[in-house]
Amino acid sequence: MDAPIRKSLHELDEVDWGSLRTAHGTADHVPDALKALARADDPEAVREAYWRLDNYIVLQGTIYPSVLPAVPYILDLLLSAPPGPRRIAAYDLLIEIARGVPDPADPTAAGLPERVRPLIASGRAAYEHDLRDAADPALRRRALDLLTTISDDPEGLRALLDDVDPGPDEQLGRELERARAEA
Amino acid sequence: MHNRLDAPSRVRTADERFGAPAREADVAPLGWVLTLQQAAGNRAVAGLLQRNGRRGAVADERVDAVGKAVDGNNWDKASPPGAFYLLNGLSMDDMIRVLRALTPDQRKKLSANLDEHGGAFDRSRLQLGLVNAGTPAGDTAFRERSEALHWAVRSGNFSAPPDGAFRILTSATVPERTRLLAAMNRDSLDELIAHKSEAMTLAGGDAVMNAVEGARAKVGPTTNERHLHDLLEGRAYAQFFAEFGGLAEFDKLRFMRGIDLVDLSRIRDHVGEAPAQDQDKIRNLVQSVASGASEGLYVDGFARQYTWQPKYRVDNPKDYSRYIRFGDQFDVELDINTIGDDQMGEAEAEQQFRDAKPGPGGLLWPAARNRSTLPTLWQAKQDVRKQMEVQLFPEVLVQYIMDVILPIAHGAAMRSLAALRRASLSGRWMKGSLVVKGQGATALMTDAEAFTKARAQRNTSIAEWENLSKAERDKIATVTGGVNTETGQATSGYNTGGKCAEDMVVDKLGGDPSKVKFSEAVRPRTGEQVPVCERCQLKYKPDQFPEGVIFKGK
Repeated sequence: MDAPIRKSLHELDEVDWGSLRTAHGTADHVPDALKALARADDPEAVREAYWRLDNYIVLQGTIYPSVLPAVPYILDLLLSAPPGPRRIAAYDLLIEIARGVPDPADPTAAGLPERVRPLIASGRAAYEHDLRDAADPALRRRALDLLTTISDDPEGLRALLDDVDPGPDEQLGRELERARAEA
Repeated sequence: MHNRLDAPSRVRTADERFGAPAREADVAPLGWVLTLQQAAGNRAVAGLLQRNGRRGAVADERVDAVGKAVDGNNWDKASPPGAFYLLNGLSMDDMIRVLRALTPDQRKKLSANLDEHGGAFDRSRLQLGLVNAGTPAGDTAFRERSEALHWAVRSGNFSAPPDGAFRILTSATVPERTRLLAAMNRDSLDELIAHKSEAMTLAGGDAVMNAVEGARAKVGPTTNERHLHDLLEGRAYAQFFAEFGGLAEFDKLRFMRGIDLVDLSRIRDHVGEAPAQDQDKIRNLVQSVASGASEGLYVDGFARQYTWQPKYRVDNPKDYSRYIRFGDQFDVELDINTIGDDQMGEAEAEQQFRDAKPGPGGLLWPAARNRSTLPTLWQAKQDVRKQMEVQLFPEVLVQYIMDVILPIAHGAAMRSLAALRRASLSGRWMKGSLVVKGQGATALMTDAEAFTKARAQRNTSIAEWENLSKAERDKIATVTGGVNTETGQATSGYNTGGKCAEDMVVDKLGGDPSKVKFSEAVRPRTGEQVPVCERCQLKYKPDQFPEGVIFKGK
């Protein structure tokens, strides 16, 4: 399996964020929002930071060009954050991005999903680990959502899902069962 | 129709405004003709030309002059006359004749420069001439249809049978429609888009609108528009407003219509940096674009709901506030004592409506403020005074949000207001009467009932989401519900194709978007509330959302 394509927050200056579009203007604020998410130490602060990224680089199912350089930082956040709200927020962002379609009004956004999904898929090993072994059922459900979204190998996905024990969490059990049926 | 304030200065006259053929005397004088005209007057020269059989020579001279101007990149100067300056003064017949005599390259160059340099002239008519000049001379049917479409747009007839703009377009075959739309310049296309709701009432209207929006999408911004956009992005607001102020009125509106809502909000939020004399006009343009109500900005129509705080700005603690506040994109504060109780004759009040100018809030204000010119606000004044009399608990200094009961006693005023709003008079009268009886549109349901109904729609939709296939579920990031408080209709919506769930609700309900109350939007995957995005915050007012809804910014 390939190594995750990740970038640490120390490398935020490598991107000319001001030249990239979000749903509402340029992506000038994205580095600050990523840092805020990385430093958030309670669920409220995580939520605040989360919605400075969601609704901007991705807005209600539409992704914007700034999403492309943002994903490696989000992936780094997911891989480095301990289980908890920050990691769940990173999953939620990646799920929304992976499911996004390009802005039909922006010709430069065409092909964005095809470019962004491999970046997200590069973290597959971590998602599989969370699905199998994370203690927090909410985290496991997110990992399941992301894996079923990015999967381009139905057989491999089915084999993985068959091998996962949902444990006592009923909701995860239902979702896993449904995912197996839909795989 | 264009806001009357935004008509370009060169198309003020009725003939030019509505594309009627220019009179012979209006034709740009050239060479020896100029000398004669100066000595003998236009009419005499026209007669002389006809008697002497010089019309052919004049036509040749026009072709030479326009060709020379095109080759020299002289577009809009008066002296020596530029290409658009010359063409603008010609009748459509003459314009097409001159244009046909040019080379295809010269016509192409004219087309390429029309939006960049034709700002002072009637661009839509020039575009029509250019397209018709490129068609075979015998194709009179296309010329008639394209002129009829141009005329319909110009005269504000979008859907009336038989010659409303959308009637013409819906009855055309797809290839004809494509040609017709190619003959419309972006000003005309913008007008069609601004009247989209009228297209949607006709069979085939949605396909027509797709074609119109597709045609408009092919027309990019001009160099100057891109420059202005860069100034906004670079936050060089003072320079932006200085350069923006130098544009023709119509170009200002066109620029505003072409920018995204982020730029529009930048203009809105920094309008204080514009020269003082321009600020209200700029607010007026922002209002026109943001509300889509270019015809309905008369101040009296924006005070249906207002707030009054009993102790706001009072000097003496025993007094009550004289100020009410209302507005849309901008807050308006009005001293109710500035509205006189005097009344005017119908004609005089009518004139006040028509001469209203941009004032506070970017709304159109009459010069005289009284019971006849501001019937709704005058009624608000009466309601506030009544509140002052019944203030039994002055220690409760709450803010009152009030709905104005339409003052149906003022027939002339209401007729004028209805005309300005392009609403049907009977509809307005009906609504006014019903509200007074307590059964009207605004009394159809309370806000609480509306939000409850909207939430029920949303929840039903989320339950249905659970039963969709995975592919379908993945597409739906947000679900919301909404109710049109005027009709009582309720529905749900979800994100689709670059649009928010709120937009789908508004599209499905139809009618006035400002009358829609939304539920909290929810992400069905997580059950979490989705904050209202910046774009929707600009499109919809806070009171269209329930208390506690989250509005997020950067």
